[in-house]
Amino acid sequence: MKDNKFNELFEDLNFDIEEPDQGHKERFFRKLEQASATPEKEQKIRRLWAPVISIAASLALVFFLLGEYMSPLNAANNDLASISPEMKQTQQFYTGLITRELNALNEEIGPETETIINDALEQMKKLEMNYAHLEKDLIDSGRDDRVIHAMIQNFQQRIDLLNNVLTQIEEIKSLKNQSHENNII
Amino acid sequence: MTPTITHIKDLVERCRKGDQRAQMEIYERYYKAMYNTALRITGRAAEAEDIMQEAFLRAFTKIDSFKGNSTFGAWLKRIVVNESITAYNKIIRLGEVSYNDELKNEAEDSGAALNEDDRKNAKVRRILEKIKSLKENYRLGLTLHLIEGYDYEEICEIMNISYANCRTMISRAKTSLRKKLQDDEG
Repeated sequence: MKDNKFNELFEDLNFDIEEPDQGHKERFFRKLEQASATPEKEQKIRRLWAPVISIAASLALVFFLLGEYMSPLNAANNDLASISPEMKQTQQFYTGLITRELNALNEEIGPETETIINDALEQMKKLEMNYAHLEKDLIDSGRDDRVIHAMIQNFQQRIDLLNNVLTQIEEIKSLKNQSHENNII
Repeated sequence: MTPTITHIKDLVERCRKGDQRAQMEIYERYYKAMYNTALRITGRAAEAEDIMQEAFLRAFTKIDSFKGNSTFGAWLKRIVVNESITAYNKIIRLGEVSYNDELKNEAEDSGAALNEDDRKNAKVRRILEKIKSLKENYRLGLTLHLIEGYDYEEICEIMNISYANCRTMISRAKTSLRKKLQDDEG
């Protein structure tokens, strides 16, 4: 019963007794105008620009596709160098290193090393094919970081392979020398 | 009652089309209730106006999500309550020192309560004062329950607490408020 009276106390009372400060309506009206003014303007601009942009976009697409078919030179755009100057440097560094090592490998060609070098070149071909794949992936994925990473790893694998082969050739040579020396002793 | 409701429906329809006059009319109609709700929850006059006005703007921008399941007033009030709770939590988190504008209504209070309305207002003020003097979560729970008229389920959702917790808290808060009011009378 006490509780009933307590609840009734709240039922027939109006608790909305406070008023906001003077001028709140004007302040709200300003806010309202601001809020409604911004999206409308944007919409108008978008409506004006939408056809222009779509035409420009389709033109750009046509040019891009044409360029892709017309000049095979553009294919070079798919490699690491096209991503950023740093990547261009990286690519130049690795390709330089690889050609140097390949040259060193070519100098070592001889009767004892022929099989190992041929095998190495075979492996190199596989890695190069892999790289060509990655170049395609790079475009498909929209320059995904993982693909870039894989490309760099591919370079490193090639260098590792060449290094490995070169050290093995060194070993073969030194082994021969040593065994020769051993024979002397 | 019916004419007002249809009128509100009409206004809401016009608001859907972005009619600014209709929006101002809705504001006119609801600002006082919404302002008081925000004020009771946050306890800050300065913030309450901002919260109330932001809630109105919010309501107008997402008026399409008002499907008419509840009354427009209830829907609007829920937005105000949610915004107020967010603001209130922020105030609590930042540990701001509350500034109670106690002098604001000094003049009204000191004058003799001449008519029925004034006497009622004085009573309301006294009750609000008592509620304010309770523990923070009691104050919030009781405000939502007794004044804003939310049920336990709604309150536990608003205050983000469990149902059992909510029940216990409100019943304790009620007891404590009743005691305070009795002390005051006696």
